[in-house]
Amino acid sequence: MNITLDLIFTITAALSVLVSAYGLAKSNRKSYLYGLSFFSLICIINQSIAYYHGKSSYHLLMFFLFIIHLALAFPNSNNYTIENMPAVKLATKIVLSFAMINIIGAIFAFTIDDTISFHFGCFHIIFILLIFYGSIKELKKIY
Amino acid sequence: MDLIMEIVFTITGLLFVCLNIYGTLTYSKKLFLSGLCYYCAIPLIDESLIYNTDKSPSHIVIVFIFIIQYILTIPISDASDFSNKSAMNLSIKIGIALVLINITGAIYYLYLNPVAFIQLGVFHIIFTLSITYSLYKRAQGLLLK
Repeated sequence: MNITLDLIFTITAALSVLVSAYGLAKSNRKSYLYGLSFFSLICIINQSIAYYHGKSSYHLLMFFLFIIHLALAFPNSNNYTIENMPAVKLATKIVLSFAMINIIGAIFAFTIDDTISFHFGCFHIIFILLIFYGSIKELKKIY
Repeated sequence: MDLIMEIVFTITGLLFVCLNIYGTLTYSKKLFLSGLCYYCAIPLIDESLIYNTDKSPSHIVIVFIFIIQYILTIPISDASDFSNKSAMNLSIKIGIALVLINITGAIYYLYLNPVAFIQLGVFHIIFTLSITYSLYKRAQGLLLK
């Protein structure tokens, strides 16, 4: 990939990781979701460029996968607490999906896709850790 | 072997599609989700078997996409109504994600994978229409129970 483009993507991805981590530290759901959404937006652009150059079908599928990630992470005015069990159950499903999408993103960045830089795999790993940290934090409130 | 698999996948797939449509028409959330959830086993088995023969990364992505659909459609009881705005917002997000997953499945089976069974692509189109219909009904004020 073009070095300038790679640099722009790396800086924006690092910023979105920071926004997400800040949101988690401050228990601010909106910031956490903004970080995840921006990161999926970067991955969408990245995969569409890779598909344009390589025409491999898995780039197109990864493109769709990150659109699904964006749809699930899109921040809206959701304000629920641990007492709202239907919302908590649905949020658990969504959080597990985030984890799965970032696991496949990391697998592709590290082993399969040579058009994606190594540090993007690291960003996916950081997101997985943030997701698990957030889940443990929420579970501690229940038990 | 291929013919037997095609017949088994077609019959079971059709059963789950019917279950999903029945759930949509009778406003039964459990049947609607069960159809979608159990259907995921078909692409998971199919793609894992094909991956063993040609080792193409596309099959891994499809496997993960259907694991995500499985997670999102596990039929757990979450008795929510229109007064619970947060649960409504989250279930709309999940509905949109399910539409996107099934559009991806349809594109993959009808356009990207030349050796796949075409029936599976058609099933994905039916699922997409069914989910879109239930989202439309929800917008009109009718909720799956």
